[in-house]
Amino acid sequence: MRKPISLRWRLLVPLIITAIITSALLYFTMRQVTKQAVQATQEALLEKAVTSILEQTRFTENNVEIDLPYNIFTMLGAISEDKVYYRVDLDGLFLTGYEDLRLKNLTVDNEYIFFSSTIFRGVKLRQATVQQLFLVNGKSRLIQITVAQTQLFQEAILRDMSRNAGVIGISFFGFALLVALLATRSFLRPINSLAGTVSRRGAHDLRPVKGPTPPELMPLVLSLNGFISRLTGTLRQTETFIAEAAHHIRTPLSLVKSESQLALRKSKSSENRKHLHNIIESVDMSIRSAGQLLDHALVLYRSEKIDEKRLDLAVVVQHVADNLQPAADLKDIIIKTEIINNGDIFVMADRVLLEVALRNMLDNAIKYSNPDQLIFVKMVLDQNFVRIIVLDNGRGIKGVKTKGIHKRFKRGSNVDDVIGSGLGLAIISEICIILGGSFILKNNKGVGACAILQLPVC
Amino acid sequence: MKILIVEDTKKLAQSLADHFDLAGHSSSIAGTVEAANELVLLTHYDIMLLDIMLPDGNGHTFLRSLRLQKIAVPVIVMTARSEISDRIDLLDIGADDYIIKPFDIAELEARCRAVLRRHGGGGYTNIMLGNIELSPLTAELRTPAENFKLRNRELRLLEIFMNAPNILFTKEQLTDRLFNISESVNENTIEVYIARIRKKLIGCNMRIETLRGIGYRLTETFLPK
Repeated sequence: MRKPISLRWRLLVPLIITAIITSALLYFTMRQVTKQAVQATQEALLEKAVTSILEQTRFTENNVEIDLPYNIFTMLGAISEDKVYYRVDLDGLFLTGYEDLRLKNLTVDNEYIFFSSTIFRGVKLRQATVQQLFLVNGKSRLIQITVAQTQLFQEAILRDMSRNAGVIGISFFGFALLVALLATRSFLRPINSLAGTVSRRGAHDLRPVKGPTPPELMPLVLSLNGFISRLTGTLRQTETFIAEAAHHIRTPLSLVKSESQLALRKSKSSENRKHLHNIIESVDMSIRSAGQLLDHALVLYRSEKIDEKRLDLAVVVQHVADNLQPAADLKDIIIKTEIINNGDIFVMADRVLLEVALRNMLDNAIKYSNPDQLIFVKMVLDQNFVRIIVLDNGRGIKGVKTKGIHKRFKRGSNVDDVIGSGLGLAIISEICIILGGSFILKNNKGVGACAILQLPVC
Repeated sequence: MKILIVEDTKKLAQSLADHFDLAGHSSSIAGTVEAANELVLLTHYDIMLLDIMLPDGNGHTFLRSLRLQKIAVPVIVMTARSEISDRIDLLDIGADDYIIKPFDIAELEARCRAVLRRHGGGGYTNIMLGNIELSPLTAELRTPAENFKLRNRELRLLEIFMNAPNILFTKEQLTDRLFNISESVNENTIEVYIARIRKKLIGCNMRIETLRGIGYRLTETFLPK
């Protein structure tokens, strides 16, 4: 699929193209205007030269006297290194000057000054030609005067002007580019501001987006708010669903388990007891799976609606440990909590998620521990992090492939004989990601496993 | 111990009541908040097992009203919800403990004991047989020679025997009562616990008798004068 063009480039590209075209036009216009101005100046001088020569032309009876005004030639020659050429013709015959200077064919009626460009001895010239009829002794005589000048000065001026125009054009392009960048930035600022406002929000912040918004962005904001509203509704439905599902799954299972235990207690037949064992084992598996699935659903739901608070970690850990102690008592297991660094440890976390993670860690420790053992829960403060370490004396994970063990429905290869759903470690890992922490499961130095939950402190 | 079970699923409530009755306790059932309220006002209960979702109200409100009326009956909430925030709320409004459905009956009994212990043990009577006395609440065994603090399984095993003296229990029956079905227990495990209790009963006139190939029973012996 073609990658969509960014808004920045959509704006920048036309602005840059416009800047390039404008700069080029500026360059060529300046060059052209200068060329025309220099040429007009040269033509004015040439016109002055030919008219001066014409004014100094007098006819006697059979002769014509031409007084070449040298001051004019001096003036023309003074400009740069330019050379000046002239030619005078009488009645179409060369009279004086440079004979090889090409003469422009003019009709007799042409009594105005005519300008043209020509190549003379390999050099480009600009020339002015004037002609006039004189009546001498009743006979009309046509005199034609041409003055030409090389264009070295004009070319030098044009070169200088081109350089200057180039500098101005590039400067203009640079300025236009800067303006384009600033304009793009200014244009995108409300969009970036909106994106920032949304991205800075916590995952649980599902309030509608408010604040000053340009009218063009209002449809987007309205759509976003509509989406947030729908998401809030879906989350509320999910919450209700999880609660109802829990009720509808757990209550019948409670009855099945309770009745099976009663039947087992009253049963005297070993055959019946065997069947009841199988039923209770299956119920326990269902209970475990249902509980973990509901916990997992709860984690997914809470991750979208996280409720972070500053929590006294020792209080939370002790609460979970106390709550699980009766379950541990059934195996004569004692849970001991210990804070290594004296002093309060506070974390910024969702209490529900934190307790689910701790409960799963401790639940695993109880499940895989042998009877009459101790489970240690230690809290170690290490700079900006606190490590909650659960140490048990169970079978550990020695020789177990731990790759992917944190994934859903994956279990260690040494726990097939113990009821489990394979969701416990996945739940802890997912909670860790949500709380910005990490989770490690490794072997104890002696026997058993060591589960470490690391969280940032506040 | 007198227990009030407030649970709208009648069969579950009856099943729990049967468990407690078998263990020598007395239990009443209420399927609604209204019925529970009447029973609490009429009778003294040592502990209440309270379901949260009831047909005519919820456990939160009922529990709050009990505490407002200064009725201090210990309450264990039986909740089907995983929401820990719910449970924290329940503790805040005066529940003594909570247990998530479905639960092991042994765990429920353990929690009842723990709660009653915190409340001073009202209603929980000691079991006396011969010259020994067992306090299930404090897990203490008093013999003429010494007082022992029992581990949980030792307590439960001795409680089984003392609640039914002279009754024969097979190894399987005892294993089922003491261990979780999912626990891998071999046949000799129960003998370890029997041996521990026998050691504590030395010098008493009660002993655990082995009927080879059949099981065990607690009997009274006559000590030589």
